Amino acid sequence: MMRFSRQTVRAIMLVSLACVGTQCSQAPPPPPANTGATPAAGAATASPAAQGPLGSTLPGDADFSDNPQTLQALQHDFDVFSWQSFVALNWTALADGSADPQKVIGADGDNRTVWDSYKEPYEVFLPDGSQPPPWGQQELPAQCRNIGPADGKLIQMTQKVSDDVLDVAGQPFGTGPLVDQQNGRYVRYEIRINRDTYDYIVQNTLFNKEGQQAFTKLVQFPSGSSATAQNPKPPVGALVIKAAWKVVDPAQGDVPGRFHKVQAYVYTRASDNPPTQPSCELKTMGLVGFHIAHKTASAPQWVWSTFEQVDNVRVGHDAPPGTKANFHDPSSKYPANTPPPRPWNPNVVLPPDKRSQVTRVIPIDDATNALNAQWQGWLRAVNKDSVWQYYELVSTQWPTQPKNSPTGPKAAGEPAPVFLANATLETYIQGKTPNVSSSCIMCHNNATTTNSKFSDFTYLLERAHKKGGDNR
Amino acid sequence: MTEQTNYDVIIVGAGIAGGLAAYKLAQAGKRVLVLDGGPGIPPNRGEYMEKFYLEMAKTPESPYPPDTGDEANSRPRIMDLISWKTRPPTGYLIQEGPLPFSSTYERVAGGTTWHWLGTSLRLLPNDFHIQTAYGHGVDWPYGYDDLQPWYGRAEWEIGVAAEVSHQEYHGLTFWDPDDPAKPYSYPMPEILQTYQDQVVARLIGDLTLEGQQVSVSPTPQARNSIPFDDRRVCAGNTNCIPICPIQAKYDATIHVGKAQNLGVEVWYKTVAYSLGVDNETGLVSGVNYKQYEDPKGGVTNTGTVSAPFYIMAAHAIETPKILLNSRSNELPNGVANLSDQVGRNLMDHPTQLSWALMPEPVYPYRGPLATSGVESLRDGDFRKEHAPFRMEMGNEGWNWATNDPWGSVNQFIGEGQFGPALKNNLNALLVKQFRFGSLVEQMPLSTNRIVPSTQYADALGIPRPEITYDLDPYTRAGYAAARQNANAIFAKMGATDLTKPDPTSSRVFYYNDQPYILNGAGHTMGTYRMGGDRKRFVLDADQRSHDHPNLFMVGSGVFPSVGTSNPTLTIAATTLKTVDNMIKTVLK
Amino acid sequence: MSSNQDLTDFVGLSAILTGFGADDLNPQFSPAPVAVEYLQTLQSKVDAALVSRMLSTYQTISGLPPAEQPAAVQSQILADPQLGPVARNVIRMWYLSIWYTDYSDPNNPVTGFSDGTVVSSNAYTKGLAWDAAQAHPMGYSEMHYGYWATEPPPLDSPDDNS
Repeated sequence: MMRFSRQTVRAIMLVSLACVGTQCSQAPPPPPANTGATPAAGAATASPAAQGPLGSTLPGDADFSDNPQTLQALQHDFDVFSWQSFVALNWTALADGSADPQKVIGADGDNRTVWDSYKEPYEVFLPDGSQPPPWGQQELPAQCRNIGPADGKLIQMTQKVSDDVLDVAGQPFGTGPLVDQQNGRYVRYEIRINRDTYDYIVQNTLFNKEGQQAFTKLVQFPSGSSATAQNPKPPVGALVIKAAWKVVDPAQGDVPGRFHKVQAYVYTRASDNPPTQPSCELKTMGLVGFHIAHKTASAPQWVWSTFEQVDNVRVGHDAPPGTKANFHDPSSKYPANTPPPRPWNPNVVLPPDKRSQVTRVIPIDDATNALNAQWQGWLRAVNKDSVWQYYELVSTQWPTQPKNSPTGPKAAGEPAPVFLANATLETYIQGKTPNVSSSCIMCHNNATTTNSKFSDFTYLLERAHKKGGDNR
Repeated sequence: MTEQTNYDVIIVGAGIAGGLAAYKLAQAGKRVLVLDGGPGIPPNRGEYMEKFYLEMAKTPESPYPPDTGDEANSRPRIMDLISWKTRPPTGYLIQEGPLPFSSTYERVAGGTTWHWLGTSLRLLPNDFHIQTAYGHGVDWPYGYDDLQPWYGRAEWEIGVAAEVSHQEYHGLTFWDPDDPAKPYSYPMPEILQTYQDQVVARLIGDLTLEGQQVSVSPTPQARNSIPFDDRRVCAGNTNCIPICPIQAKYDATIHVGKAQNLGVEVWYKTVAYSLGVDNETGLVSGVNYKQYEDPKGGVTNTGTVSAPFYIMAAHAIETPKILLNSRSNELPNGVANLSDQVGRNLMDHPTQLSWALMPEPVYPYRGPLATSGVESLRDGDFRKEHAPFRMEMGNEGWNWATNDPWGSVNQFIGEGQFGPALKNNLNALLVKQFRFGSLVEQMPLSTNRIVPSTQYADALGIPRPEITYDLDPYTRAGYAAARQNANAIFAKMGATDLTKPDPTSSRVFYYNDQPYILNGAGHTMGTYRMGGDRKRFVLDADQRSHDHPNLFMVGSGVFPSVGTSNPTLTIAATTLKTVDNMIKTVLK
Repeated sequence: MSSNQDLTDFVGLSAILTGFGADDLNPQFSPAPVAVEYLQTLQSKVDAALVSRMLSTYQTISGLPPAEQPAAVQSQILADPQLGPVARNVIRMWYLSIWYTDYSDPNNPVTGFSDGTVVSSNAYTKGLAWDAAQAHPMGYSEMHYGYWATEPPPLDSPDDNS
């Protein structure tokens, strides 16, 4: 049975995959002509020819037009979709958050990104359950006011996995924090949702408990789809980003040119377990992990793309002498993939012998490595100092049986690959044990609303409060 | 050598009792050290789950280490019961009979809550004074009303899902722990009952047994019915025992972790084996421990740690083993044992399994392992004649009873079935399977006891527990009544009883010449009980040793009598009560 | 080593033996095909000539009209003194994810307590016994909170791509 629609609109980029690793980034293959991520891309982006396939238009779905349809070929299609999405989301942004049609990603080395203006959950699920402010406004916590620019980025979370089930009043601690080798500081996380996700939540009043209670249908976020001649501007669909950031400090051995960086308010919420004072510091933070979850027509279980900075678990390509991995020190005796000892207080700087010792349990496969080298080459071709060439796709998880009923016995839709973990976001649940080891779809299949209804593969709706505020 | 420490309290055991105690003491600013004999909390549950998947026999202890009876942190296993009489013993316990003690426990951080069911029933008011009310068993030193606020606090601490109006039976009352004038509510709404529960309730209809109206009650459960405490909602993996893959069910690693976040220190792979006592003051002077790295290897370090106060929380078999292993010239009975009651009155909830084929599909093997029960026969005038019981309704078909689906699949294939007939015949059988597990209140017998073996030791040279165990006639009569009443319910439902006690079983016993099979509930209780009379009880009503004023004990060993509720919630409530009292009095 | 033809034959034979469709046993694009694991287990545990005879016998049977195939599998494989015990152990493997060790002694029939090996954790999560029960493997469910409060989907619902 044919499970994926075919498209014939787009020419396929098939460049030699013979070169891998550092060779590619030093001598990238000649970029093919920009066919755009979708037919609409060419119109939306007045792009220099040199940008190759790099485009600012977010694809609404993967393109399955290459044949034959095999597990490997479909994986390739989804991996290409991942890279297209990564590039479009990190495209140079204008002041209003939209993609700058004049500036290719990384043309200036680094750039403010499109997704940076997406909403964070705390802006949507307000403590008093009220209607969230319109798209495009940000409120800073009291601790962060008057210490920097009002439009600065705010990063709060100290752990991702448990944050799935965290509301603003909850405890941000579950499987354990990740601590970088250079600074001994906690990695911080943020979640951001796109406009389609935000609109669905607001339009259906899913931002408070009462609204969720009143919503009797199955939660179904909108799906993206590929552009066609008939429908040149299809919806993007629901898209959720999770990003992991570490402190970047050249004085501690970090190489700033290898990270996408932001000036961010690093905000620590008050907590009584462990006893933690609220704090807010303005820091230079470098992107080390990047998840894109995107609901598409071909993937009702969503497509899960995950990227990392190349130096996370070993020193990546083209590193200057003396560069150290972000989360691995060959000389450390600290056990691998084990959280630091408690108490887990994010305000504490850990000594070198307690810093995270992370290994990648499931290696990135050869085909993905080859694809990474290719896209890194294109990014480097834009500007040899582009920070974006130092990111790699770990893999893309997608459902091989997408038509399985969300209320049936096989709701997860047989995800491929079976397991997928980002070393910075699922550090401590890497592995190959069903129902436990990191699988984006299997875990998010357990996500619910505040009243235990299936919430369509996002834990965000758990964060809703009662109108007027929760009281026990 | 005794190490000088700055701890206020040393706790032996990092299960639910030790974990909660450490957490509450740390919240009050006390400095706490916990010693635990097993490995620490793993970064994730992958290793345990992988072991579970690959084990042929998916018993309660199958996911956990170790695999043999003589390792450093060994504990009993269900598989050991098949050959419990063999010498040298194949399992950890030295079973002297006449019946084998049939429950198991874990010795890893988090303890047996890794494999508990999650059932969180309160004891009934009459359970606290059964001697006075019915002339059997032993009264508690206090009543339900004294423990009621602590039940409420325990339910909020561990997270219990239930609806008060469905739990107000047999005189149970509920009020706000901090204000008796205010109503109480559980922290989470009730877990949805299974389709099976609904069919059973409908088919039972109107039925009176032993003077009690029979009804099906939703069971209070420590599992998430809504997102709670940073943990996921139950997804019905039907695996609470032996392991919840997604930690929707509470386990004590949660409070051990919270305690560590408050600065509590935990030493893992540190096996306490005796207590020292200062003969001048009568105070406990230290905990003697041995440490290991490889559970099959030997001792890597020994030592003694001291603090002003001690809490034993090592489990109802391990705690008396340690106390009795602390014999000295001055204390020939061991520590805290002037009464000679330490290790005696070992109790369980012997569990009568009754299974039947239902007249219509009930679709078991779905949902949490148990979501409802018949609680009607937990109390009533019949308690003058025989022991009461609660009838847990299993959601796992005949899995416990006959090892299905493995049993029937092999039987059908062995008969030559294949293809669609095999699939459809299995379907027709499996969807109609139902069982009751009737947990019978066991009466205390001073001869039911655990002592340290003089013959057999573990890999660290520490004596292993030797157990003498039997059921008294009143308990046996309750077991027989459980069988009869299950049959009456089956008959009312139009179900076909298929219960077949195997007379060749290593766990068979008889009552009125009828064979019954002893099953353990995993509820080890009663070996260091509390009560006012220091000649009859080990602890006073504050769970403090009658003999040593700086020694406290928590856990199900303190229960004077055990009622019919699964003990974990009562462990939590009595622990919170004890620790609160310690903070307000001796640690002030 | 197993060839593609071996796998096709193994899945085809397994479909007749188990009562589940070939697409259920070996779904398209499966990222962790349990049929491959089971064939490898069979080939590692049983004499190669016997496996080869079983698969070639089935290959011949597969040329018959579909309606005649089950009877042919019954008479030529299940009733065969050598092939029968192997084929029954293959059914057990599909239903319970276990390769039982002593499967060919008629005086010592395999029971739920017999010795064996769980093929893998992946295989455990795909045991057909659980589908036959309209349930899920204990310890592995893909359903959502409260699914247990209503009747399950029918036995042969379209999502049965085990």
